[in-house]
Amino acid sequence: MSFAGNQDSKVVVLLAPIGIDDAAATSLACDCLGFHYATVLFMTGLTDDADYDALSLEECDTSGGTYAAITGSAHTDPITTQDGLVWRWDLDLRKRKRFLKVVADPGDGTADSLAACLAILSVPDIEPQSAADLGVVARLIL
Amino acid sequence: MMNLGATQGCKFKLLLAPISINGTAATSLSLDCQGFKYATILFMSGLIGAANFDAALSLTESDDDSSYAAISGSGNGTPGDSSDALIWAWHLDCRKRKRYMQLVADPGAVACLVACVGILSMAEEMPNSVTEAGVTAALFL
Repeated sequence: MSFAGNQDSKVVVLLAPIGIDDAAATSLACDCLGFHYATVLFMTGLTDDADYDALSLEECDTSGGTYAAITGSAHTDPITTQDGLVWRWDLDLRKRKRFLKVVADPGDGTADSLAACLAILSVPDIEPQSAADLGVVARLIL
Repeated sequence: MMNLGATQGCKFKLLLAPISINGTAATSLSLDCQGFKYATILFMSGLIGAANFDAALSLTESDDDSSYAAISGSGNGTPGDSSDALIWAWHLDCRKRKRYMQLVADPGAVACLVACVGILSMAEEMPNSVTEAGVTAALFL
């Protein structure tokens, strides 16, 4: 059973808000163990004057292992005018490896492109019990 | 109503696109909750400069998307210099709230990278396009 809304979802930072330029951003690994479903959100802030070279996902059985591209996960590359938008992947984790990363490679502009990425893990085997289990510093239910 | 597995039936809205803010409260976009029963708001920090935020992260609400009032009890911690790459969450039963919500994030006088996204769920009518889901593109894998 899934709780109403996303009350029992865990959130994981893949890219904390960051400025990146002409090199693939270094994604953190998202450990999907214990969850059946994931939604990954890639968010653009101000995109510099060059289109992205890549935006996709990769997966691996181990956190520090060699990641392989997930077939079909490549979004059309964000372009310079696409500020303040969200790209989304929905994944049935029963078909995936345990660890996920995002590949986000902005083009070579004159300044950084601002971006962030997070994963929302849901349909858990065991309901998260604490803020730490949910991947947050603090949460309020109002 | 059945909740689809996970976040498949959710709508997303950037309240703060990834941005560097410094010294003044960031102007959040509005989250229009009409048609949804539940909202989750996630505030993400990147690199926080060497000064604490001036106030706790909090939410405001409005009936008309014009005049906003603080949501009582929504103060949710004050990010500081060591609060890099973290997430603060609010879960809201929209039936008890006004239609529009905004985030209040007031950094200290140093540059801070932040972002904030609202997630609307339990839709009365399921979003059935990327536009209705609030995203540019979606892939189901």
